[in-house]
Amino acid sequence: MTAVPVASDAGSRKTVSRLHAAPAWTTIVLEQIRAVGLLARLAGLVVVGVGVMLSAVAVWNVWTLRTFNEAHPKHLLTYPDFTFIAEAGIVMVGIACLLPFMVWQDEDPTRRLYHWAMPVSRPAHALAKVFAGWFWLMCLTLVYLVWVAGLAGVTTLISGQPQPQSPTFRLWEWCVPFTSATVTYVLISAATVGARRPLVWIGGVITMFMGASLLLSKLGKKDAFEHFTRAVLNGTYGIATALGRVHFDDATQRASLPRADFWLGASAIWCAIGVAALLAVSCRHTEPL
Amino acid sequence: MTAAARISTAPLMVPSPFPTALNGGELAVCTTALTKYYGWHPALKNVGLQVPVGSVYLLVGPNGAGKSTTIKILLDMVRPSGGAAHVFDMNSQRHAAVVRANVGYVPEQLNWGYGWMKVGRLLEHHSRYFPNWDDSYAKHLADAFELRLDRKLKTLSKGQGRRVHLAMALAHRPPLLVLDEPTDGLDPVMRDDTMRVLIDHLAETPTTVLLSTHHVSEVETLADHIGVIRNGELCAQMPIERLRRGLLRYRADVPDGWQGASLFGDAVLRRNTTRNEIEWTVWGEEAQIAGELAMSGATVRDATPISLHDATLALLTPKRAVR
Repeated sequence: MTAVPVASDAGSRKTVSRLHAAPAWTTIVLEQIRAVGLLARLAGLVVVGVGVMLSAVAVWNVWTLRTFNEAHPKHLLTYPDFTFIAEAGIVMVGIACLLPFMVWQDEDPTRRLYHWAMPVSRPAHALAKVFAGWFWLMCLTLVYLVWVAGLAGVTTLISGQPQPQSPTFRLWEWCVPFTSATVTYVLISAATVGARRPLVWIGGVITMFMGASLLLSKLGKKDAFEHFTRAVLNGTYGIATALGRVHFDDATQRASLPRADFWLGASAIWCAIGVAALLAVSCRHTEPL
Repeated sequence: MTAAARISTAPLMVPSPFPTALNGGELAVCTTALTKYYGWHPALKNVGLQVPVGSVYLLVGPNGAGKSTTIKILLDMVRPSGGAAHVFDMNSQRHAAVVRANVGYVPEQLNWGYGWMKVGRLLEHHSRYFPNWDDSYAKHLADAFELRLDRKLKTLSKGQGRRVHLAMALAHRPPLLVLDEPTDGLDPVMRDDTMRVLIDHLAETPTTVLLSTHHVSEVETLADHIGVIRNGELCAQMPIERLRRGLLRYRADVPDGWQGASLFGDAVLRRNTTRNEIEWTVWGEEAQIAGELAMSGATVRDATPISLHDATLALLTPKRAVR
C-alpha cells in the first residue's frame, strides 16, 4: 500500500505557501468568448448559410432584371433597393432574443453547478459569460452590416444603377443595429440568468401588462394606464425608440428614425435597466436543487 | 424568522457518547456550528467538521444526512443558515473563488450542463480556470480513466462522467480534494482502478482529502479520520485509529438469569445476546468495559477490533439489539 501523507506532516506555513491562486479575470473572459463561440458555431454557420443563399437569390434576381431590361429597353423594370435602412436591424434584434437561451442552455439557475464550482466569483463569472455572448453578437452584427452594404454594392455593379441612400438617412443610423441588439440581448440575458423558466417570466410580464390594461379599462381608468404604456413602449425614450423603430413623418412622407439624441437617450436608459437587472440577478445567491 | 431564532428554538441535542472534536493540529477544513435550514427542515445542526491538513477524512452518513450539503457549503454553492465554514483558514463565503481554486471537487450529481462540449475540450476549458493545471498529468489521468476525449459530455454514462470529473479534480493537484461519492456509478474494475489512481495521487501530491462515500470498505486502508453525520448532526468525529481502539466487539459467556443487560447504556452500539452468550459492540476503554462485564458476572472471552465497514454500520445504526 502506498503511504499517505498524514496530518502531522504538514505545517501551517508550508500549507499556506502551497495554496493556488484564482485565475486572472482576463483569462476567464477570453475562455468564455472561446467557449460561447464554440457553442454558437453551428448556429452561426446556419446564419451564414442563409445569408449566402439570400445573396445568391438577390444577385440572380438583379441579373435576370438586367437581362430583361437589356432585351426590352422600352419596358424597363425597376431594380430592387438594397440600400441600408435602420429597420434592417430587426434581424439582429431577433437573433439577440434567441442568443441568451443558447448561451445558457442546460444551465438554468438551479443546474449551474459546473459554473458555480469554478474558482471565480459567481456574479463575475455570470457577467463574463454574458459578455462573451454579447461579443459574438456584436461580431455578427458587424458581419451583417458588411453583408448588407456588400449586397447593395454588388447589385449596383450588376445593374449599373447606383442606389443612393434616402435623403433622410443619417450616418449614425448604421449604429442602430448594434444598440438595438445590445438592449435586447441584455434584457433577455437578465431573464435567462435569473429565472429558471425565463419564457414564463417574459410571458408573465406581458400577460400582467395586458391584464392590468384590461382591469383599468373596466374600472374606467384606462387613460392613465395607456399614457404610461405609450411612454414606456412608444414614448420619446420608449423601448421602441431603443430598438430602432421608425416613425412616419407626415410632412416629408417618409419613415425615419427619431433624432439622434432620442435614440441615444432611449438606448442608454434601456441598456442601463437591462444591466441593472443583470447585476441584480447575477448577485442573487441561487442554490442548486 | 431569522436563522438565529430558528436555531434557538431547536430541541436540545443529546450529547454524543463519541468524540465530536479533534484535539489540536492544523485544519484544512473547519466548520463551526454550521446550520442549514431548507424552509423549516433542518438539514444541518451545529456541525463542527474538523479535517486536519494532510488527512484523508471519511465523511459517512445515510442518504439525506447532510453530507452533500456540508460539502456544498464549503464551496459556497449553498449558504449556511448559521455558523461558518473555513477552508485553509479562509471563510468559504467571503473567499469563495480562492477556496474553489484550491479544491478539486467531484460532485455527487453530474448534471452540470456543458453537455454539448466534447470531453477533450472540457478538460481544456477547465484547465484555463486553474493556473496550476498540469497538462501532462491530465493526459496521464485521461489514459488511466480511459476517457474518450472525442465524446460529447451528454453522451457519457454515469460512470464515464464520474471519471471525467475525477480527472478534472485531480489534474490541477489541489491542496484539498472534496470527493462526494467518487466511485458511484463505476463498475467494480473501474472502482478499483480509481482508488489506485487516488492512492498514487496522494503519494505524489501532498493533499488533504474529504471523502464522502457509502463504499466504506474501499477506503478502509486510505482513510485516517472519520466523521459520522446522522440527521444533520455530527455524532462522531475522530482519528480512525482511535475508533479502532475504542470500538471493540466483546464476546462473553453469561450465566443463566444474567442481570447485566442494561450495562453501558448508549455506549453499546450493537447487542447480540443469546441465553448464555453475548456479543456486544461497545465504545469505551477496553479494560474498563471488560472489568465491568466481569463484575456483572460475565466471562469475557475476547475483545476484537471490528472493520471500518462494521464500525460505520454500528455508528449509523446504534442501539440495535438482536436477541
